[in-house]
Amino acid sequence: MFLRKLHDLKNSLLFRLTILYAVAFTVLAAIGFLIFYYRIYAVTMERLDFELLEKTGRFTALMKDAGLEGVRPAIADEAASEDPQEDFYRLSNFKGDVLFSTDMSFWGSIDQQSQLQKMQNDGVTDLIQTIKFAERADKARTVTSIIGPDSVLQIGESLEEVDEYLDIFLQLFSILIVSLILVSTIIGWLLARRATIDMQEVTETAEEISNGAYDRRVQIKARYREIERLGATFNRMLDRIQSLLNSMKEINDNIAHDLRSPLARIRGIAEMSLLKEKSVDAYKEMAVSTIEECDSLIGMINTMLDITEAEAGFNGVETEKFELVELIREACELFRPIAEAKKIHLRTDLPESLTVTSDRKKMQRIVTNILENAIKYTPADGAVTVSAAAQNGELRIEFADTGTGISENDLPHIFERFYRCDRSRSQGGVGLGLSLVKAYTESINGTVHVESAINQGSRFALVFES
Amino acid sequence: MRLLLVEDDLKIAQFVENGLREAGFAVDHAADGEDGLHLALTEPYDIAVVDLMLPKLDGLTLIEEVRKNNINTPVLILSAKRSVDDRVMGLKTGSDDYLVKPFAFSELLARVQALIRRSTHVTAPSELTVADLMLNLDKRKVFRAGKEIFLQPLEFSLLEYLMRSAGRVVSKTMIMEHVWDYNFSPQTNVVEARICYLRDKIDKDFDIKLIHTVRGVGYVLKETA
Repeated sequence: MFLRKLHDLKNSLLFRLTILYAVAFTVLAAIGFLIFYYRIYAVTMERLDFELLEKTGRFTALMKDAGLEGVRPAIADEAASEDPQEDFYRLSNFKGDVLFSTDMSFWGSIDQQSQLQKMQNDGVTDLIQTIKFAERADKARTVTSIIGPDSVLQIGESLEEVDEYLDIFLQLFSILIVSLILVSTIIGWLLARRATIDMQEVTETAEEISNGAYDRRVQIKARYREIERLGATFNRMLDRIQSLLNSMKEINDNIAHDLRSPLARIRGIAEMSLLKEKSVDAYKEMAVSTIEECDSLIGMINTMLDITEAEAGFNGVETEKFELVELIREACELFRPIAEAKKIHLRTDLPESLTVTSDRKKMQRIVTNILENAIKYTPADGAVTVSAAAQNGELRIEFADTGTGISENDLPHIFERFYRCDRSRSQGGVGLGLSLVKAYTESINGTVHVESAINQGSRFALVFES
Repeated sequence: MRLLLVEDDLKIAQFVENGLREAGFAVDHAADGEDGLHLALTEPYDIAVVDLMLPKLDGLTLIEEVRKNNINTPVLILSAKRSVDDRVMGLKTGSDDYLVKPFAFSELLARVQALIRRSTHVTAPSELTVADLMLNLDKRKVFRAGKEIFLQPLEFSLLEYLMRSAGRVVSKTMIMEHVWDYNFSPQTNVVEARICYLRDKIDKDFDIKLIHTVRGVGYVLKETA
């Protein structure tokens, strides 16, 4: 239980952001402190070294003027003004015989020979070192200077004071860092929470929607632009889903209607013929009606599957080279008897030849469907004109009729499945023809365009990039 | 002609069996794949009609087994699946055909007869004759009672198809497929209009009508009603 909670916490954005913020802040502060500390240490040491060298320099000058006899009391004077526990002065010759020294019992021995050796190797007259003496806990900064012929002066100063001074800094910074960690954690948590609290609202809305409240929307007014955008995008997605749901519901209703009606008719016809003895012809009539209804049902189901498959890209496109003009002429020829019976002028405006590489079967069905519609909705003495042309790198097939036209309200919906401009559904057909046209045309990389005016006619155009 | 029908849906099996018997076939029916395979391997059939979804042994495996035993009986596959299975496509040779459920019995019969014709290598005649109607395929001419009748190319193709299937009912879908090479039927009855034109030329001036409408099913060209 506790472990799981811990695990949940570890994976929460709030927790992660807070920790990230605190760690980043602390690391930056620590780096800053280290740089600062190092600078203070360096400056302090520089000042100390400068003081020590300045002293030995002074005695070197005195040695030149007054010789060893003049220097020795001067050093003693200087030494007397200092605490022998804090500073030491030691004058000796190259062999190591001590000429003057403060009380070295506080300090311990000095390895003078190795220092001289090192100075000789480096070719210098002053050597500054930090030495840990045997008798002391703290370290000391020492200078070893050759102040005259056969005279070595060593001055040492305890670093205790400097250490104490730096220790104070260290303590101060430690306190500062600890409080920084605390403060940055709190600030990080607050910032992260402000960001996530808006997200939480989005989550809550999503939860409500998943429980069935499809009309809920996220409050767009958030503190941050990103969250605002998330909310807006989320709402747009919800709108789209809802409109899809609605259209699916509509399609479902239509399917229910369009499938139920023929089934109801079949059932009714069969039942009626069983209720009473009838003539053989009446039974035949029943069988005929049943077959007709079944065929229309099968046709509808197949067309629906064709549309779905074309939209989903199943049963890929089979391309071949064929003569489009011939295909259009054939389709026109197919409908000529119908057109003639309705006294409709079926005209074509086609070039000599248009060879295309596409899916012939699909093209056949697209052309036939549009042509069939045009003839269906054109009254007697009207005209249907089919034209085709290839220009500007595109192939354009147009079907213009002088028919009833499509109203502005219907125009955006005519390619939807089961959509029929005629609400009473008195005209034959199930409202799948144009959906199939659109699905097939798009599956062979074309587009369908339509312009229409009530009682003046419609113009369908198929455009293919060639 | 002996025909093996392997189909587990008993109602479908019954009407197919009855229909084929009426058309003159001797039909054996097996209700599952194992029985079907046993019959196919032991009896000599001229043709087999096999459903794909079968209990015990599926139709494809059955056909593969039959072929493995070097039996080249033509097979008509029945399936409820609309999209043609890749394996069926691989299987489909000159002696196989494919029909999707639900199907029109007239189409099943036409395909069965076409498969048998193909497997028995009947040579195509250059002349088709029904009663006093004669169609010459080489010269593309039509005569009724010795008098030449002039037909448009499409009408000629339609009549040729009807005469080739003489005595057998052909559906609108079959006409669309064979005469127009369309694998679908428009909503509008374009075939009916075309048949009307043809009737005007072939039957109008004669007492004995040859082109008959079988309502709800299709059309048939034959001497007697």
